[in-house]
Amino acid sequence: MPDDEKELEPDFPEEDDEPVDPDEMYQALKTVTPPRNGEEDDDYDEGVSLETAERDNPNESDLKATLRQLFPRFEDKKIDQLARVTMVARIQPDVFKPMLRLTVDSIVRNHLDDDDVTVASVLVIIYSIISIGLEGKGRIDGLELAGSAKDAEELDRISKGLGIA
Amino acid sequence: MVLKPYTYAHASIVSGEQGTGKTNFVVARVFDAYRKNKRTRATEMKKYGEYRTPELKIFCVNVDLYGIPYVSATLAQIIEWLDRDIIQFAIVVIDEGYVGAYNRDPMSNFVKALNMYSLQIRKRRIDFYMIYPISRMADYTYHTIVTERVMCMSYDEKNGMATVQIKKKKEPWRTVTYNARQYQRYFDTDQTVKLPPKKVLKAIQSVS
Repeated sequence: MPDDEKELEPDFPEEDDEPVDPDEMYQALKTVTPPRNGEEDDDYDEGVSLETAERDNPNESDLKATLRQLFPRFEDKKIDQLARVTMVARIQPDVFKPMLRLTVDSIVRNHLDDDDVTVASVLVIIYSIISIGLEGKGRIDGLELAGSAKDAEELDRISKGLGIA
Repeated sequence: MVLKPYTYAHASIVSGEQGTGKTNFVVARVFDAYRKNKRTRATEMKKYGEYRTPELKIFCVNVDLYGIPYVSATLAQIIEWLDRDIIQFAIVVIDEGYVGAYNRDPMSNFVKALNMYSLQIRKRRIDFYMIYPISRMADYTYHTIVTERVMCMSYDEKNGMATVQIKKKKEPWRTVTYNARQYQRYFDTDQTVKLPPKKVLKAIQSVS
């Protein structure tokens, strides 16, 4: 066996050795050194992180991009869950105000200790969500968009088939 | 702790010319994952009084991280720890993968072993990142399990923005631009990698 390959063979433990706990071993081996001093000044703006850039990447089909604008997603799981259902519901006009008041009240009460949550911010978000679902307009817009995209796709296919695309 | 199974393994190959931000991209991914894991665990502790998500483990070969807890390892150690099931729910970063995993080397034990374990990385919940100047330099077998290809296109020193192209399996290429400067504090862009002594000796002998 060449010397190179001999050197690469790791030293495996004997079979009767006690199994090692992965978490304990990791805690024993890991190191943390402070971040390096950056060249940024006090006014440095971190800008777009990689995670945000990948999530908001506009390089999608027109339909996907438009749907994302019309039916926004939220970071807060509870609000996002509420939004996904409400935006495609059929909300009657006479229920609009009571629903708005109850929902805002409930969310604000659940976040009384959270300084980032204000009544105004919650009101704007919930109003936007409920207004999308008012009288079923959200689902109508979504269906129209999907229909248009399908028509456009069909038209494109026919044009290519006829050689005029 | 009950862990959700992975639907597919995350094996990435990151390539690009010198100075286009390959290591920066991978460090950005590592930092974002570490930060997300830390926040999730903090929320769980606050809500449930216990951790329900394990701590994300980070293993690096040929790159040192700053401000992020990690384990620095050699290629041989990575293989050993894979065999002993020590590397689980982890991110493994191999920078300058051509030092030890180069497709022109004769099939060394390391390349064979790494590719053997690469096929199980989904089960071990490991995210693999291999960095090469040219993706063709990576061993052929690694290419068969790659689920994401990243090509680093450019880094603008004036505004600190890096542009990369990403292709995941069954998806088209997409271009992503992000601020790379914020991640520079977490690694040393001037860090060099030492070749194994045997390789250096071989190179010297071949020219003398």
